[in-house]
Formats: sequence, C-alpha cells, structure tokens
Amino acid sequence: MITVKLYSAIRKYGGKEVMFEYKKNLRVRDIVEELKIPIKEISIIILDHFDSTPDIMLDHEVKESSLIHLFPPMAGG
Amino acid sequence: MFGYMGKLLRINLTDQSVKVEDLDFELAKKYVGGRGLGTKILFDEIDPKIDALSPENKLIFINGPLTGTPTPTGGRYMVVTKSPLSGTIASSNSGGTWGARLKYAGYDGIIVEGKAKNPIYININEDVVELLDAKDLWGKTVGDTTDILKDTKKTNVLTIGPAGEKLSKIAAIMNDKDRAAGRSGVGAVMGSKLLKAIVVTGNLKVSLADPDSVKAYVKDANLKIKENPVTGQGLPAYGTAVLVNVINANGILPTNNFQEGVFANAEDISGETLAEKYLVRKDPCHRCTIGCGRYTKTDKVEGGGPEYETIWAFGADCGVKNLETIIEANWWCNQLGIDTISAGSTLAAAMELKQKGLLDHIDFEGHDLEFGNDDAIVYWTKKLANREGFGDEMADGSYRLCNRYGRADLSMTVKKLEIPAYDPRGVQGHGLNYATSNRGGCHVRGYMISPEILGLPTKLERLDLKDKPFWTKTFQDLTAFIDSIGLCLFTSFALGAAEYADIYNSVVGTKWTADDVLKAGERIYTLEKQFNLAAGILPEEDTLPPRLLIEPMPSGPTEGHVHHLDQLLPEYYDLRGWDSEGIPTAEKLKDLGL
Repeated sequence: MITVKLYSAIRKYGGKEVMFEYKKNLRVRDIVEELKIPIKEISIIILDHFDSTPDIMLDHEVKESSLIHLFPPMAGG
Repeated sequence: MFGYMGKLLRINLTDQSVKVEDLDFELAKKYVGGRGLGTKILFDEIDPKIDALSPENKLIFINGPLTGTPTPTGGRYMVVTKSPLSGTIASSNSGGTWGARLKYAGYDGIIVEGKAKNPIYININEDVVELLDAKDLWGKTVGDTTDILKDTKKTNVLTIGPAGEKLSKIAAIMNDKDRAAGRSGVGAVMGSKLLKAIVVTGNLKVSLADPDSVKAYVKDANLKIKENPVTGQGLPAYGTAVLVNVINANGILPTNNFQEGVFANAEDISGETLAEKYLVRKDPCHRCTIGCGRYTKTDKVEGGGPEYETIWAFGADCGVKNLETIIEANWWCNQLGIDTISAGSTLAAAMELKQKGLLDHIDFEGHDLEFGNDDAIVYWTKKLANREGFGDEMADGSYRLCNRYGRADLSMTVKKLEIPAYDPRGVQGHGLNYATSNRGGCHVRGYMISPEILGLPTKLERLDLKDKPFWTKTFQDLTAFIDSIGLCLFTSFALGAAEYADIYNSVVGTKWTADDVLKAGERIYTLEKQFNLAAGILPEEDTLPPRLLIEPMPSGPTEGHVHHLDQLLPEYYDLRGWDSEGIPTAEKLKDLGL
C-alpha cells in the first residue's frame, strides 16, 4: 500500500491520510489527479525522504510501500 | 526629511537628564534606520568590550523610516545593545504597535544610558517626557504592568517582566503584552538599568516624500501579499506553526535536544492542530495585511501565540506532545518576559544533562526534567524566569548551564545563543547562516529555509552545497535592509529587493535600486561583524555545535548527514570580501564606506 499524507489547506481533498493500492508505473501525478487536487495548489512533494520541485516530483514513480507528503505553499519562521 | 521624524530622545538614567537631538539625515540614509542605524550609533558611542550589564552599555530603541507609515507591516522596531548572553551585537526585532507609536509621538528612536538609582519607568507623551517611580511595578508580570500603565487607546506599553529584573541573560523586552524583542537577552540590559517600562502616547503623522506613489506601491504590495498563497492564505490560516509538519517530514525538526530529527508526535503540536483546537482569532501587528499572529485559549490561559519556534522549543526539542501545555509555557514566557526559543532549548539541554546522569544531585521538586514530561516545562519555565532552585542554573541559557557541568558541547548554541527549530544537518545553507549570524544562533538573519525547504523564491536542493554561500549572503543582506526600514521579514515571501526599493524611495524620496538595497544590507552586516570583532568575539566562533558537525543524523529523511561548514565557509567569506579568517578586508570596508 502507498500512504499519502496531506497537510493544511489541501486536507480538504482527502483528510490527513489516504491509502492507495500499488500499481505498476504509478506516478505521483496519477495519485494527485485521483485525489482531484489542482497541481497549482501543491508546492512541496516529499516521496520516500526525497524532495525536489513539484514538476520533477510529479513524474516520479512510486514503490509498493511508498510514503508521499503533499503540502500547499507555506512559510513561517 | 521624509519617513524619519528627525528626532532622537537621549535619556540618561544616572543623572535623569532628557535631551532631544536632531537625527543626522545623511547618517540615517547611509545606515537606513532600525538595525543598521542602531548598530552605527551603538558602535560609535560604546566600547564594544564593556560588560553588557554595566551602566556603560546603552539600550537603543529604534525605528525604520517605514515604521508608522501606511506600508504593509510598517510597525516594526529594533532593540540594539550589546548582548549579555553572547557578547555580540544584539538587535532584537518586534512588531505590535509600540514602535509605530513612538513615531507618532515624534521620535525615530530612544537612546537609554546609565543606570537609575531606583526602579523607574519612562512616560512619553509627544513633547512631554517624564521619568517616574516604578517601585510599585517592580516584580509585576508583563500583563499586569501593561494593564496598569495603558490608559488610552493611543498609548502603548513596552516592559520587562521579572526575568529581566533578575538579569536572566535570556530575558526579553515585551511590548503590547504579547510581542517580544525576544532574543539575545535584551531584557536583562533593561533590568540592569532598573528601567521597568517605556510608555508612549502620540498622535503625530509620518510625512511621506511622494504620498501618491506610496499609495500606489502599497496597493500593489498589498495585492501581491493577498494573492500570494503563503502570505494570503497559509500564514493567516495556520500561523507560523504550519511549518511543524513540513520540517518534520524533511527530518530536520530537532527532537530531544537535537539528538534526532523526526518527532513522532509532530501532528499533535502542528499549526493544523492549533487552528482546530485552540485558535480564537488572528492577532495581526500594526499595519499587517498578513496576520500570522495567533490569539489562543486553553482551559488555563488565553493570549498571544504560540509561534512555530516556541512550539518546537517546548515541544519536539523537549519531547513534549501536549500542545495545551506548550501554549501555557508560552503564556508564562510572555508574562515573565523571557525568550521562548532560548528557554525551551535550555530546558531541553537540562533534560539531556539529566539523561546522561549529570544532574543526579539536583532536587527537581517532583517535576523531573525528562524528555516528554510535559508537567516539567511549565513548572521549570517559571522557576527559570524567577531564578528559583535549579531554575537559577538555567536562567542564563543553555551554554552556561552545560558548561557548568563540563559539557558545553550539549548546548545547541552558536556564540551562546540557542539555535532555533531547524537541524542544520539537513539544510546546509541554513546551517551556514546559523554559523555566520552576527548575533549567534538565529534563523531570521538569513532564512535559508525558504529556498531549501519551501521552494521560495526557487527550490534549492537542501543537502547540496553548491551556490549556498551566495544565497546565504544575499538573504542575510536583504534581511539586514528589511530589519532597518521597519517592515516585517515575512513580506519577503511575496516581495523582492526591487519592490522594497520602490516602497523605500516613495517614502524617503531616494532613488535607490535593488542593488542599492543589497549594498546597504551588506554595509550593515559588515558593520555588525566589525562590532563583534572589536568586542572580542573570535573568528573561530563562526561555527556550529560539534554534534551537528560530527554526529550523523541517526534516522529519518536526513539520516547519515552532518553539516559541511568547513566546505562552505571559505567561499562565503570570499563572497563577503572578508579574509580567510572571516575578517573584513580594508578594501571591502572602503568599498562599503565603513
């Protein structure tokens, strides 16, 4: 199973956590589309401890037990 | 003279004299105001080697030219002095309304000198400035003092609490009850002068060079702030604590005194949980169109905060998952006038000392300082601020506490100032900023978390070293400018150097470019470095706690990494025009007009 964790404003698309069945060639983008989250509302994607810009991360393929964190634009300090 | 009020108040507490001096406009333009101008005045007027708690130290409250203007977040002021905690330059920034009110009373700043014979407070009502007996206020909390002294809507109160009176080297200066010039122990300097409070009343206006342009730029900036998803949505909805989960998901949320980088209960102390369970309303500062400030309520307390850094310090860093208790600890810090970051981090250091068996002789009075014991954080925060029992050993911060037990290495500090809520092992640029920050371990001297974690203004790989010295220097210089004009650093999530130049020009009447903005910031940064060198701060103090340099992160997304300061510092110094030891070259000083 793949675990997807959602934070702050984008929890409206699925709550805190959503589980997905693994499929071959499944990408982060497919999961985001399945959740119906507009891509422009996602600013940070962390897949199995790795992060980069969303446009790079969206095309990453997930593994059977992947953990994905999805965050909207945020800042603080 | 536009933007500036053109007057400084000089108050000598030893001889009780009050003088009004004209502001040197050319000096003000060169050093901008706030942090820059305050540092210049302090450096010119004191020997940086003096004891920070002696009457020879001066305490400068100073605004920027944009403080009190209609510009977005235009309400910030700076406290500039020599720090009793670090021995470096101290410049602590605060919001609320007090700074703007000082402008409305007719003054760009106040220079406080000497030491009073008995506790006093200063009452300023435009041209009338009085030094009044504060005997009955001494010992009172920030809330009680403020309630007693605030008598009209056009009055704002700045005060210390018991921690400042007792010369805790991590004491804060508080204004408008919940706003803090928190860091570097500035509250102890005020306490050492027996100055309890400064009350300001005023209704004057700040003149603007080009009111129509100001109006247009403010409209444009406010639109950008509103349309930006960070400043227009994230910060207003969740406050700064929205960061808890993203910092934890990157494995850099310092846990149990930086022994780990992932806190299993992060969700329990997150901005989302804060908003769901305890948030009453937003609590914006003067002229703020963002509104990240929180006003929260639990069964026990009600008031401003907590911020992200506070939640981390008393939460993950102490292994505590009870947000209600963290809110209570924050409330007591505000009431007693103490820096939440240094207080929480000092408790965490004590917990590790105890974990290692070094405090077996201490009477913990039934409230054991152990990681995860939420009961201990409120109890010992109060004891720390009041210097009672073991609290007295913690009252001067974690460095002096750990050093007393021969384990200074367990103090997570740079230049004796506690480093905040991001483990440098997983954010290489931010670690460089901590090591080179002129006031010691500080996240808001060059907030590299923006590009390295949040992707603002562009995403940098957090573990890479490439280009990090350039970015760190640029962030530090821009921040020095923002801190000097009187705006909030958070505007930089939506605005850039060119936009700051436009707004500054429209208020002051200059024709600065983005390059001028960065050059002014660089001048201020280098001046601070010069102050530190003259104060006896050694070049090798540009470093990080050994744990972060040699102990690989044990687990999580940052597992196996250390901070590579030795690889970053040479390029950073080179970019600054400083020599290989971090000393500004004569050529660079000349270039900056220093």
